Amino acid sequence: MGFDFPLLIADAGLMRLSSCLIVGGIIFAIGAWGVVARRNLLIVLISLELMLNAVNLVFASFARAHAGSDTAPQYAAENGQLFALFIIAVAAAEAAVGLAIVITWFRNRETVDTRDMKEMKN
Amino acid sequence: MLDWIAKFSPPREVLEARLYLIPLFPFIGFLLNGLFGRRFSSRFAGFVGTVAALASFIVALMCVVANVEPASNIEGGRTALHASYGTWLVTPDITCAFGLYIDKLSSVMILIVTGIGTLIHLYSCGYMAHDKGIARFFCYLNLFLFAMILLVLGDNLLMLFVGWEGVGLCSYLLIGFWYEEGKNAAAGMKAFVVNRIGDLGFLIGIFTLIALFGTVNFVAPVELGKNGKYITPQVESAGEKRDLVALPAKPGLLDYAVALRAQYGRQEPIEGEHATHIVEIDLPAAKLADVKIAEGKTFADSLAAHMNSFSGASLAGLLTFACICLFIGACGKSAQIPLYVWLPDAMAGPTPVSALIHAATMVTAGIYMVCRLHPLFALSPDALHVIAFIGALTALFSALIGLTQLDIKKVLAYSTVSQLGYMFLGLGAGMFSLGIFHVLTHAFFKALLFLGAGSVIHAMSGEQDMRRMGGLRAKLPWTFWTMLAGALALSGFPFLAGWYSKDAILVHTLGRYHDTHNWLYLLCYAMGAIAAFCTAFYTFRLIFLTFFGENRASEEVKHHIHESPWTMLLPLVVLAVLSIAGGKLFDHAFVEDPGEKLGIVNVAFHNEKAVDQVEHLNLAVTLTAAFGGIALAFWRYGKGGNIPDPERSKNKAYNASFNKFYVDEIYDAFIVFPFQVISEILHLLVDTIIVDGGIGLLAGTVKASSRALRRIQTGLVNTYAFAILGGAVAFLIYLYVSLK
Repeated sequence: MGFDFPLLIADAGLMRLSSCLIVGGIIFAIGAWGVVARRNLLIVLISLELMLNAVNLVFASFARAHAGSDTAPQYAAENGQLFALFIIAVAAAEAAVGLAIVITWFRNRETVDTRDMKEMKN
Repeated sequence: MLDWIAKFSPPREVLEARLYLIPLFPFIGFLLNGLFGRRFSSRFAGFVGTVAALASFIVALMCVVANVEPASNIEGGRTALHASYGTWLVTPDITCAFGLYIDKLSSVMILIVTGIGTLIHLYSCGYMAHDKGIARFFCYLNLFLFAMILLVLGDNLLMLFVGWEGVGLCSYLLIGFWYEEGKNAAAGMKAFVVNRIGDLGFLIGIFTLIALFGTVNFVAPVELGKNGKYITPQVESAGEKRDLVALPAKPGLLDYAVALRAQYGRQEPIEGEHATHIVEIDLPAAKLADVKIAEGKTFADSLAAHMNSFSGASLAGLLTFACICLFIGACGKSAQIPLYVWLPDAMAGPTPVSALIHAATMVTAGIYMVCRLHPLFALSPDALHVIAFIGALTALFSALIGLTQLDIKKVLAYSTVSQLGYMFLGLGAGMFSLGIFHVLTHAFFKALLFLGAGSVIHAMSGEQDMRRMGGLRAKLPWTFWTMLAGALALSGFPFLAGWYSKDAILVHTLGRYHDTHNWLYLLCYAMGAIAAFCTAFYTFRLIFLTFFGENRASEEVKHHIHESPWTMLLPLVVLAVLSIAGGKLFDHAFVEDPGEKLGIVNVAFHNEKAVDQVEHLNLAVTLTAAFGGIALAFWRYGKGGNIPDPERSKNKAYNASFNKFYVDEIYDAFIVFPFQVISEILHLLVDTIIVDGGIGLLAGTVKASSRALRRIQTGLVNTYAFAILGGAVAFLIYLYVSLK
């Protein structure tokens, strides 16, 4: 696809974009598996964070890759970084709300197992 | 008096531009009492309603005074006030405006409506003072006034129809005013349903006229000129062609009718004068296709566009059809056979309503409509025959029923139906001005009788049965003397209001027979004369049973008998004066010179002297009827003690009359019952099986499928997350495939 070019990372020397994307994909997959398969609500929330950060990684990688490029769309690098920051902010808010819900739930039911949350069944 | 009013009224142009004030005042009253009435005290609610009616009356009076000014004094010679407040409806066939039109005919009606309306509002302040719904009552009453004003002042048939339906609605609301009692609500519904039957005929009549003439305007519409004054397009001269009458640029229905009359009327010179008189319309020979086309703006020219669709049809046939359809509408509203049955039941409403709506104004809307369109009706002798016969039959039939009724308001109700019959008899005899004359005098004395009856009922703590009245003369002197004046006027006592109009109608009916030798008019005259006798009898039966003899009420009711407050007595006195003097006052305008004074052109007699020749015969007949009826009533009931007792009566004629000739039962058996059976069949077959079944099937299918589908709702967060993930993946795959 034409974006497999070297990235200059300050301390680690040259690194390929594809490596970053592969790492991001693996983290995202782990997060998705966690959300779908784990029963503990806290783990589900953590997995959600993993997915969000995987996306952040991909955004940051592309932003770095497009910095100073002539072929990339205008402001591509800036947009990538902006979205990464944006997602961090949203993730923080989400985590706060989500944890609050989990804590409230735990206080009421003394469990955080998703198998016990079947009020909406049928 | 006229000069005095003219001195205080604004200039003609200003009045014309402010015609909308006449309907606006009652509408404001309606809004005030309707929106804020709950917070008003009963006196204030009555005050608002009465002032609204009075303000409307004052504006109307000024307009009427401006209207009777001689044409020579007015720029352009235009006597009628005609204003247009914007376009209402534009279709390829018709264009009509929110136009208000006061000519001399609508002047008469608007004064009856707002004048008697004001008196009855005032009366209601006293009569309804103890009713908790008084604000609602005045709200309806003002809405009625608004609708009735639209009906009278509208410059086109559609405005008239809007008012027509509006007064029907108010009639329904007011008949069922005390809706807690089931029979009152049922009476309201009966009035509404019966009127709908008539309205269907009315609508078909309007549609026929639209198809025929392509307009619903009565006269050419006005336009607002640059100087802010309303102008009517000028009539262009017909020039040399004497058989063609020129029309304004956008002719109205009446312009067409006048043109047709001039083109097809057989003219005869008036003896000793050079003028000609149209005596007979020979329309049956005329087909629309034969209508001559001439240059310029002529009747034929304007009709050319419509002729293709009717080229083979007889013009007379179509006009007769339209007129009879309109008359069916009038039958519903003005309670003529066979649609009169709602009016006696309408007495379930409060008595002021009976006086205003079901005696003086709304029920005369049918007569007004026929008079409004009288040039059209004059073109159709067949329609006039139908109107005369139905009118005379109704006059006799309901007078016979009135002979034996025991409820004081029922007697007056049947009397109203009977008098409305007289009015239609007058119209049917071609004497349109006499129909309106009787509307006027009847509005005086019948409103008076109803209000008097209301005063009696008020005094008797709501008792309406005359068997439990009697001897009230001493206790209610004002009510007695005013009602006596009304009763004499109704019976046709010489020189009182009713005598002038009823006598004129009868003499012209007999004159029409003498003139044309059409036996129908003789039959109508006979029915009218017998009805006159019955009228005198039942009216004085009412007076004797109510005011003479011993009081037959219970001790408790007797204790409460009191004369009514001044708000109720003042209208009685005013109406009594009008009932005594009203006939003589207006006799000249309606009988002698209706063309000049009213703008009504009656169907002319072949033989001008026909009326003179039968005048004495008629006088003998009507006076015999009136005095005979009064004398018989005195002989039967005047001495007291002879109280009607229908339960023990063996007389078959008496029982038939007492039971209203079983008309309601016959309608129930032959119309209402089959209708209910058909409805029940449709209910069981179509509604229950097909409609409900179909809906049920649909609902059942949805229910069954959702029962299956709801299993996918596991309630587990993970499942939902998996579904979201799966969806995202599927979407990405789709994107990948489609982009590739």
